[in-house]
Amino acid sequence: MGWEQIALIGVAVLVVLFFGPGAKRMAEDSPSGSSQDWWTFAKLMAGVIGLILLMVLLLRG
Amino acid sequence: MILKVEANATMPNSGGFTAVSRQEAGVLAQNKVLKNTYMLLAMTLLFSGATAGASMAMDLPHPGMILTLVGYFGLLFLTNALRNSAWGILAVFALTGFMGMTLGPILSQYISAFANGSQLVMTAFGGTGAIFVGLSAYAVTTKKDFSFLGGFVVVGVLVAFLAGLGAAIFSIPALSLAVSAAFVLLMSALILWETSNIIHGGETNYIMATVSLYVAIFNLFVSLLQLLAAFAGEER
Repeated sequence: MGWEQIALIGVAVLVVLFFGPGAKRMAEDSPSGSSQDWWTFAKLMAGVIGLILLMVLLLRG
Repeated sequence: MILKVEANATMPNSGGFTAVSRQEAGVLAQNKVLKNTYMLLAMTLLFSGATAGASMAMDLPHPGMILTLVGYFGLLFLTNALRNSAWGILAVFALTGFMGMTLGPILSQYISAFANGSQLVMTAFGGTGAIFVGLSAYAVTTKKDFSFLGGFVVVGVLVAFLAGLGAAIFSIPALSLAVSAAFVLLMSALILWETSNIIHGGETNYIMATVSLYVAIFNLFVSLLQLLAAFAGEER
């Protein structure tokens, strides 16, 4: 394992230590959306996925 | 000014009107944050485009993952520390300029490694623009509250970032591709969440709102480019 891989493992540990507790707190404090909210979000994400598929098809000609 | 006069005029025994004026003032303040955010975002995108172009023209090598991460997190912390002063704007330009500079060599690599490299870059660019405009327009026009996405976005980005590091450390291309797919969805969610946050008064600092949307656009573009190259790239 080279020095760059070891440094990247160090970065991963630092990221967990710095951002982990904040992310956990935010996940706990964040309001839980209704099923209607998540359904709206899922439809928007389906639109994003559809657009990407269209782009792949266009590029493939 | 008009709002102040209106509020004073309706002060005695007309709590309803005062409440409406306050509400209007709140809406105006949120619109101002949104307007300032989009203005600064447009300027930073142009600036990072210029630094990316310059690094491509000068044929600069990629600084490497470690230096990129150190520069990125360092400038992100600096921007966060200066977010309430005019120096914060300078820090945003330093951050976005640096990110643009690291993007240049990546774009050069795609253009030289794929026969349809320029087409891939332009399609990813157009796709990023379409996703950003579409999702922002949806959040602004419907005024729907997407605050429920907060926990999902933050935890998702953290997990995806760690998985991305894992893919780089152990050289797993399939994991890298899965992380890119996850990032496209997470950055789309981040655009919805941040825009809704500005509209509903959760984000009042346009410098931090700009950084958040810029990072979403940048990651969306890079992830989309990787996905398009994997599924539609013609290797030389």
